[in-house]
Amino acid sequence: MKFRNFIQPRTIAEAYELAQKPDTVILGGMMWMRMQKRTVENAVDLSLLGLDKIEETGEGIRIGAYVSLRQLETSPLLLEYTEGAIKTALCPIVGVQFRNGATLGGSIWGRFGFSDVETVFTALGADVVLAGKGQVPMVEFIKNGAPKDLLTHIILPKKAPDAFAVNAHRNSATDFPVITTAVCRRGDNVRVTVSPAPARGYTEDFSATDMPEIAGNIMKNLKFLASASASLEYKEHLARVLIGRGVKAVGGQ
Amino acid sequence: MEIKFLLNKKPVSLEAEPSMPLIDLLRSLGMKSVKCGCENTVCGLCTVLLDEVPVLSCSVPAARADGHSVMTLEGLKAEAEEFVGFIADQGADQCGFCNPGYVMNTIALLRENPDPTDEEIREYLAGNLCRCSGYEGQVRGIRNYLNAKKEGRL
Ligand SMILES: Cc1cc2nc3c(=O)[nH]c(=O)nc-3n(C[C@H](O)[C@H](O)[C@H](O)COP(=O)(O)OP(=O)(O)OC[C@H]3O[C@@H](n4cnc5c(N)ncnc54)[C@H](O)[C@@H]3O)c2cc1C
Ligand code: FES
Ligand code: FES
Repeated sequence: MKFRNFIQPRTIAEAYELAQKPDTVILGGMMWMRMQKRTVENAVDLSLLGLDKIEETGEGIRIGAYVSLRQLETSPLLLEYTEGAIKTALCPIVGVQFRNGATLGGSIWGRFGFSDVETVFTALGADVVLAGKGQVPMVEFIKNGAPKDLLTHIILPKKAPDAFAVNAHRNSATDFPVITTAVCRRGDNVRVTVSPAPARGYTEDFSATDMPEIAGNIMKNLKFLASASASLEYKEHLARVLIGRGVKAVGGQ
Repeated sequence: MEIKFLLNKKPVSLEAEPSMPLIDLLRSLGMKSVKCGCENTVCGLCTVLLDEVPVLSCSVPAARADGHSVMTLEGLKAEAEEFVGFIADQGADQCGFCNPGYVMNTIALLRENPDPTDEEIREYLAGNLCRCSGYEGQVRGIRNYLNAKKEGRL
């Protein structure tokens, strides 16, 4: 992708205003966008907005959209919150240099059906903060998107999960995942998120008392599409096994 | 736009398209160690240090170098020489095309974690693809270098 003007706003309000203009894109790490064959007038860079921080606030953990995937996987705060699962989930994404570039905002904004990042944060019960629309649950954002808005933060609930597990399958190391699953237990709630690429991510909440039935029940609602990486049958098999492992890891059986 | 940055610690100033990939800008300045090995941001061959952090220069627009510091292998020869011989001794380099990316990322690894385990070496270098070797030689080479350093043989 090419752009004519590189603009570095100093405030979120300014960046949001720019996002409303025609022929304008917001730049994340550009890892994805750089492969697009198009030229745009304006590219808005977020690096001067202080959106590169991971902070504990009264509300929970507030993570800026410009935080890199590498910052996420090495953050002591997030490692403690997820008992290391964030590292297990994000380390297989290409390589360290790639993850130094790719951002949280770009990864969530894309609503990619293969995203390890989206799977982790949706299962953890995150909200997204949009400059225009305000704070909305991530599940809602993934369903509807927010055209022309600007993602500024992701907020994790104050209460860390009682148990959290991420299981993914790749056909070869550093490749895109065929499927990524995450299971998060907080008290009686067990949330399961599945990214069954190329279909969009799917999330369902269960009661902890139903743990033995979760893997079977969620399969009734999950939609898969065959792709070059795996047949429909293989994806279904992987989903059942990986969700089953996740449920077991958070205390099922 | 005018882009001013430190290239291997020396100030550089030039006119460039803001979206020009940093790799192209660096090569135009004679930094031929920085090579392009893929079209989809996965091979690691174009690794440079941007403000000390290893990044893929094929995906960084030139505008993002403005006001920052970029180090390429040309500026890190002394640091690289300490360990490249150990990797060569393992016969890890066959065609050698992947070597500059490996060396750059190994420098970043050892600065961040001077005493990595084999697992940590594999994890850090996973984004450097080599189509000739099976990666074992590179890990053995780095291990031998670290052992030699610990045993005072360097
Ligand atoms: C080769 C390759 C392999 C990959 N493998 C994996 C994998 O295995 N697992 C995985 O989970 N992901 C994978 N990804 C996706 C990757 O992790 C990132 O999610 C992706 O690159 C987007 O992040 P970015 O920061 O580069 O965003 P960009 O490419 O810069 O932007 C992506 C989109 O988001 C928009 N955008 C960015 N930030 C904001 C914001 N704050 N507000 C509003 N809009 C915004 C941009 O305008 C653009 O439309 C892969 C990507 C590539 C290119
Ligand atoms: S050229 Fe392959 S990652 Fe940059
Ligand atoms: S030695 Fe040929 S690509 Fe690595």
